Amino acid sequence: MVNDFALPIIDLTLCSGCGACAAACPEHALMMTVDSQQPAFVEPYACTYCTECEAVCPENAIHCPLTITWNTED
Amino acid sequence: MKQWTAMDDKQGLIRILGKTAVFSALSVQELGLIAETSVLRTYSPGAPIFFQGDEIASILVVLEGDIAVFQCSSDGREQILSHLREGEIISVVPLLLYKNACHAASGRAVRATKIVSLPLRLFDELCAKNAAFDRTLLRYLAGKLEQISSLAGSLSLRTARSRLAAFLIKRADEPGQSVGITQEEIAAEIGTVREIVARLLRDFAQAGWLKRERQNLVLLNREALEEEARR
Repeated sequence: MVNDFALPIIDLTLCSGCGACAAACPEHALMMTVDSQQPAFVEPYACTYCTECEAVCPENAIHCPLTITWNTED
Repeated sequence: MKQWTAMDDKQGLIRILGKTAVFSALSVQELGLIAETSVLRTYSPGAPIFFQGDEIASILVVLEGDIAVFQCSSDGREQILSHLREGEIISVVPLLLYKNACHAASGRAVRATKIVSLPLRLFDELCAKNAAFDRTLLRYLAGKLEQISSLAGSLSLRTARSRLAAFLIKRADEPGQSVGITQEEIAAEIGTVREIVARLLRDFAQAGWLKRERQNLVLLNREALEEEARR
């Protein structure tokens, strides 16, 4: 079963803390924490799953997996 | 990777192997011999299983799960060549072609995967003694050849747009997707780059062939996608 609300998956062991994901997030849902300089979803419900963070991550530390299904409505 | 030095469930292994296309031709005694001498390994999703260029030290058979077999270009771009699932043999072509064969591609687990490894010597003995096993192996190899020919044709003759449409249909038709797929992974499956996949998905959405609902790609127009896949 597919979750209705998923967030991009961040592998902090791969993250270099460069901040490219936070800079690219158009909704400012993802920001760098002041103390650890790691990305965190400070406004998770603002995330639209646009996958920009995944696209810009130079370390391939962010993944936005998609499920592909047929429409079952109507 | 988790490893056992002996098969915990010998009867279970005999039952699973006996149902696979390649090993179904073996007798219970021969399957028992495999169970006696094999080692079981389990891998988590994403874990590397074998690497291109590494020597093949044993016969590796997939018991359950899914392995993506891929090669990388010098700039790191990945092309998925095939998926190996239950009952399939890893790197079977170089194994049969050469002595001291090496893996011609790399493989990683797409989901939780179990593999059993058998001594090379045992495989050679089965090939030499059991003509029915040889025939099923030959049929399996013919299937692999057909698969690779189809991939070569698709990569050389079809556009990325057409390949993406075909991939989306195939993926949506698969029952019970337990893991999602990233745009990077889709690109590796269809022989292009992530940026092209992202642009084509936007094009398909604008055409009304699919819609994005957060992490769900919902396909709306089978007819249009199938027509695109045939181009």
